[in-house]
Amino acid sequence: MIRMIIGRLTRALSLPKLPQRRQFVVATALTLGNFIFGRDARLADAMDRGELYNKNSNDQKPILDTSIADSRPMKPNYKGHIPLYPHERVLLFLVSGLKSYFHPENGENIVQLGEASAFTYFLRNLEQTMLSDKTGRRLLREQPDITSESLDMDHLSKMAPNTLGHNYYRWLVKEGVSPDTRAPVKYINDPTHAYIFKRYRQCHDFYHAVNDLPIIIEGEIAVKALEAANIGVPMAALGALLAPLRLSQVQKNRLYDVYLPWAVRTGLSSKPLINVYWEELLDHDVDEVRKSLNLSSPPDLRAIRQERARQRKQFKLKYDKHETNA
Amino acid sequence: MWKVARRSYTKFNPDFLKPASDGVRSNLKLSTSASQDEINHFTELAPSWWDVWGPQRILHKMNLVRMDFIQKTLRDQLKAAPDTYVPGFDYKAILPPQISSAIEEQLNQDIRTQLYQQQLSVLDIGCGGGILAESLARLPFVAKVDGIDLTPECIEIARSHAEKDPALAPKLDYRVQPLEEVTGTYDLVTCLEMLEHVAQPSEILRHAWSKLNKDGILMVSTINRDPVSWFTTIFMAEQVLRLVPRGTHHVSKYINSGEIKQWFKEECVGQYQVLDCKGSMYLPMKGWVNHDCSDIGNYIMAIKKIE
Amino acid sequence: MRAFRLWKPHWTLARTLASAAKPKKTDIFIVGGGPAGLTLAAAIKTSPYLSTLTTTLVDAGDLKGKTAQFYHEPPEKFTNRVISLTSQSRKFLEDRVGVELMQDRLQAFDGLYVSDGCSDAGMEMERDSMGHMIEILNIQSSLLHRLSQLKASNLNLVDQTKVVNIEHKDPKDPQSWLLVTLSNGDVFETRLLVGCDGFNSPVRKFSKIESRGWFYNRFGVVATMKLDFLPFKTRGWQRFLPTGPIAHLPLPGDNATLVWSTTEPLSRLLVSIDPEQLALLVNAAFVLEDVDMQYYYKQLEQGTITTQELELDINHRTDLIYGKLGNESLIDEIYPPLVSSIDGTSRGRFPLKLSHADSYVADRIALVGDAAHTTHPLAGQGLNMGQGDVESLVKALESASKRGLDLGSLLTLEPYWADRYPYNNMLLGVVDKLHKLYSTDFGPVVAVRSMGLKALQALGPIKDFMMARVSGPSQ
Repeated sequence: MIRMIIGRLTRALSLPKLPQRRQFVVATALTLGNFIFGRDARLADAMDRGELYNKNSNDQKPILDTSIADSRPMKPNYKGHIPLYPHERVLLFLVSGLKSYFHPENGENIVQLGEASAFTYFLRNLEQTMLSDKTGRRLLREQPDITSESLDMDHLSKMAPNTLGHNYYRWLVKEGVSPDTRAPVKYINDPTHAYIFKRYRQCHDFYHAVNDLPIIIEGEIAVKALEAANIGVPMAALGALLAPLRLSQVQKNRLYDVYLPWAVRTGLSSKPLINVYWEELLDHDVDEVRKSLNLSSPPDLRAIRQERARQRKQFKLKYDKHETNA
Repeated sequence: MWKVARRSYTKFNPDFLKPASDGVRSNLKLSTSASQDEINHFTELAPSWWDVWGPQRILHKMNLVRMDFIQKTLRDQLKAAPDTYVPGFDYKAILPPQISSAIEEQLNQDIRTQLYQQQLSVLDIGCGGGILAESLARLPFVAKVDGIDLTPECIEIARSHAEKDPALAPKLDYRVQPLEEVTGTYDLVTCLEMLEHVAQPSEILRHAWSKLNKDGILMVSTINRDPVSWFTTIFMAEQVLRLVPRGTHHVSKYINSGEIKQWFKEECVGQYQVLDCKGSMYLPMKGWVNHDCSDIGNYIMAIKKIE
Repeated sequence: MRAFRLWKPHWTLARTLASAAKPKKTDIFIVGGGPAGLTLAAAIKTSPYLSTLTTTLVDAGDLKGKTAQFYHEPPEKFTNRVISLTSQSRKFLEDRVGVELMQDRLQAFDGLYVSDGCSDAGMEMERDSMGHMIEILNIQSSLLHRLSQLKASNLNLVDQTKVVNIEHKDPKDPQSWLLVTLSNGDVFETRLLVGCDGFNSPVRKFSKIESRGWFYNRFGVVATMKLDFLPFKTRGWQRFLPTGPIAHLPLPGDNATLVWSTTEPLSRLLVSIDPEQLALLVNAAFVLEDVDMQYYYKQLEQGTITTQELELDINHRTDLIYGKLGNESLIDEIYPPLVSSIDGTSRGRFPLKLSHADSYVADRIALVGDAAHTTHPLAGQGLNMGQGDVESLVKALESASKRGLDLGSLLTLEPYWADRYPYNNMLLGVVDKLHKLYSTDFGPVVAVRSMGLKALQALGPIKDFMMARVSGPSQ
């Protein structure tokens, strides 16, 4: 149902001949979202109570969240939990979906959509996958947290270059990210499910690292598809299905011909990645880890890009030569 | 068919109340015997007599309520012993169920003891294959049962069937014998489902009555001569459902319960007491049940000889 | 024809052998000294209408020795064959048959908490004296005691003996009396032969009565359990796991009994693992999810988990689920008291099946109890159905005796089967449907059945009606 509505909306929105309509619908949706979330009203309230003076620099979000959490009759089930009413959950899904479509570059939109689309059914499936496995059960029991502190980045940097730890470290440095950049889980009700979702987010970088996929959009889509096939996270599937709509034809071709087949095949044949205790594998050889998990090596994205650039250059040279000859 | 049936049940049976003519009386063989047709009919039936799923199933089932009636009549003749407490009020309605059932059980026990102390002698007239005679012989308070019938094949069947049960041998005696040739008297004379098969029912009654001891009881059962009987016993039972072999019944030979009472009134003034009279009907799925309306369909009557 | 000729000498030999010992005449010959057979014998001897009948009971077990001894010198531990006796069955045994059951080995329970192993649906069935948990040996030995009290002269109890042959006295006449030859050489000539001889009833086979049914491909595992503490509420607990229902039923004091129906391989696992591990599994089965149980089964089968690890994992998961309840007092409401240990030697397993004979009666033959029908133990009805059969058969015999009927004739026996067959068939059907309904974890089915269970929980009168059907009318 929801998908149908989104599908219709996207189709309506992407009709090039009706720019006025598109703008109108978008504006209405955004205003509506804003209005119902009552952000302005809450800000005003917060200002009234003098809370806005305590805000840290230019980020207003935490204060807003606290005020939402405080206004609930339900108690939070864990630290940082914001209990939502069912209708709010639907709205969060719709609004974050629309916002993600138009502003995918804003990570917060994607994060919100991810949580809003993490229906209990999928989380339960994920929980069942973890409960069926010895390591998965241990993860649920111990609930380890992946942070730069717990991983000890200094230690990682000094590891042998063929280890998973060093690979991971190299990947973080190359892409300029840190394990701490992952947003906390806020909207999932069940504490165990919240942990599972957090774990899923935290492990996301490991999937990149172990497969050596960059965070450019095609790499991201490939990892999403891998996650969707392997773990069944709906946001990943959604991302893998919808994100390509915004790609260029060349990117699309590359995606459909090379990455998606690899990602889906690997995702289905490898062991459930959510059950991997990455922290304990840091000093293992990365190829062995990949082998033990039944992960096949992905095609090298960068190499392909370079190859394509080279081809294009050659082609252009030929074309130029032909032009000049003519 | 309908015409015949109508005539026969509306017609007052002239043979019945009329005292038997001298001519008939002189011919002993004929007076209490069934017609040759009837004998032939039962000869055919004899082999399947004891097949409870066979043609006589309905008779086997009927025997169950007949036995209930006989049992109840005999019990009702007995009074609780002086040392047994009999509440002078409706104890079942007033006392708690445990107590009232205990009282009832004690009364039952008392009556049962008295009943079982009796050793009755029984004459079963028209015993056929012995369905009733065997049942009576198995009762602990019955000492002996004499069964008589005019169809030799039936008596043969009855004898050979009784041989299968060692408990019956000392108590049962079957004979091909007309009623008037029976010597001796009995505590209980039964004449069930038989009067409608004989030519001279009044003669049977007269002889049966003469075989009773004082305080003895005569059990008579037959069928009222009315459209209901024709419909149930002949049309439904014989022709439609085939529960009863065709030709078993003739509506003209049926006798109303009132006619039997009338006969006693005229012939045995002051000597008899009608103890009970119950109608019987067959309910599909349930079998035979006794009811209080004795002038429709089948009925059974108990008459006590008080002098 | 050839086969016939070959058979004939053998046949005549058997006949001469049989006639060598003069047959002893008996009115009622009961094969099988289980609860049904013994109850029948005692009911006949107690009935004012039947007590004079010569009655013979034969059983292969040591009835007069070991079984009878149980009444006078009961063992300290509870035996593993425990059943629930409905109030109706108990009333029949005590009031009609005059049996004095061993009260100190009998546990009344006032309710049953039924829950779904695939959802949080639960239903509490509560009423005074819903039933009584009792060892089968208690019933048997109390009945033997009753029989010895009666001192009936015309009762012949033959134990440690088997029936080797049954035939009609006159092979051509199916209504003739039956000759029963025993393994000790004795031959009995009987008016009525009653088969209380269980699922593989030789009497039923002789009677050629067809029995229909199937194996459930499930096994029942039983064991006697010790509880951590005295239960604050004496009630039974039953949870429908996708592999089959598990029941935790109270016995006197801190004892309880286990009836766990499960698949064949798992039943083998349950009786072979360390008793300590089984105790942990029982506790887990009532609280945790199917995925947990499947994980433990797998680990135990592979031997990749130690008892300590199992305990740690179960405790962690249990605490987590207790934590979600929000209200600690609910723990005692919806989960059974914890099992502290299980007597490993008390474990036993048996295959579960459904069977129902087309008829319970033939000329001179009646089938009673398991010989006529066997059922899944999930409703605890097997023995009670047998007791109901006995009650009905005795009623039919009494009424036939009052009417002077031959007790072996179909006229006598038909009311018995007409009375019991529809009721038993209904129960067998309901239990069978319940088994099928709960042996799946398919989402929509789980949703519908959970809704049904919750709706039943909310609808008191309907629940009462169903309980009355199963455990007799309310008192």
